[in-house]
Amino acid sequence: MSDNKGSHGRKTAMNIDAKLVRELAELLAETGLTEIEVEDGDRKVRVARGGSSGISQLSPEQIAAIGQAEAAQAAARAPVAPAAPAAAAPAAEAPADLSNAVKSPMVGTAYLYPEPGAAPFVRVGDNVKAGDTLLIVEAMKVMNPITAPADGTIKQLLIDNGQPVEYDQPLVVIG
Amino acid sequence: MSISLDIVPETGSTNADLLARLAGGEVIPEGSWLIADRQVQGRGRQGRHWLDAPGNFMGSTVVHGQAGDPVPASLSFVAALALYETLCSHVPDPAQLRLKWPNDVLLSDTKLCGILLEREGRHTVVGIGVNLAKAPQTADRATISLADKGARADRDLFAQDLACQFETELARWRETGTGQLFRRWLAAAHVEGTRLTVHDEQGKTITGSFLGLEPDGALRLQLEDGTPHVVYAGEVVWERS
Repeated sequence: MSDNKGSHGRKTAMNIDAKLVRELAELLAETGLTEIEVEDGDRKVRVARGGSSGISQLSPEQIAAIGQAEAAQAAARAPVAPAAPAAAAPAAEAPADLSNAVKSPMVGTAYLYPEPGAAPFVRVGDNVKAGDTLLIVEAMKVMNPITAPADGTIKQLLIDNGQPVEYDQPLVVIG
Repeated sequence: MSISLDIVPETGSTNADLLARLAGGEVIPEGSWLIADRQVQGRGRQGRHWLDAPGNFMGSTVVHGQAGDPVPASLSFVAALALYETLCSHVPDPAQLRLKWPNDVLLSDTKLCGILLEREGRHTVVGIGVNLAKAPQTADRATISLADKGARADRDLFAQDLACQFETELARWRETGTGQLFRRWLAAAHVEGTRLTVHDEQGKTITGSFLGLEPDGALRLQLEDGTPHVVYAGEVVWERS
């Protein structure tokens, strides 16, 4: 179980960094990742847990899953974090197609329809605007709308309705 | 944080109303509750309808994500514990209350209430329905009300208690994180080893023994062949022996 150890004493002189470290440590516990590094100008904070092997990269979507203002800043910084080379992407069959796919920010179940029998949120060929809901991912009875990051056209829906999805799993390709 | 209860005679869905107001840019402080005497389009998971009845509690509130908050999905457990603690002081025998993953509160093993959380950006709307006066009849499951147990809960007093309890649980969640939250949840939930069946959205069912919670709150089961299985979404049915 994750626990916010040391959550007392927020108002210390090291408030900002201590808070950030605490958040990152908590994020590690919550996501099961082993290491997180964020960089902002000349400030770089790295938090690792349980040894240094198997470095995991925190995707912008995973950060966004935390959904907070600090996370939004972290997401903006993410591209400068130690990214895996594009050529090493695991989706060997079509890495280019999925590189800009909207990915799942969490483990859960994906819904393409607001409710059974209703029209889907989007269909292939639909034009969407930034912020439009593409689908919903449910985790622990929390409904999380997954929205379009930018204007575009739906090129591919990569999942079925009711399908379990993993962290970072590509869901929708928008062109 | 202060509590504010906004009571309206009728609406479609208190969750939908708050989500629309948030999407429109309205600032709704934490501690604000929208409560409806009647709710004509109450929502449950994936198209299920939450049926209302006069005298029952139907209301929603909002949590604004802050830096350092635990993951929003754990708010399901915050809501469940707040409701459980509130109900403990409104039922004749609190030992008859039991939590079911992730956020159902059962009374005598029967559905008494429903909780649905819906996110809008960094906001999470928490909707809660409780059968105080009458249990609407549904085709697919048994339901119960507090009145069925001889308890007469005034809706407004119940709402105040719930709002205060939710405020307390939210503060604890922010201060102490999910570890303590999950421990307290487990203490009020089905015991380890309970056989649970999960119905997923593709029509499949999985049955196993309850092993506890994952660090993120997901349901841990041990299947009959001994393999562990983790569930993030689905309708959990408690198999009574």
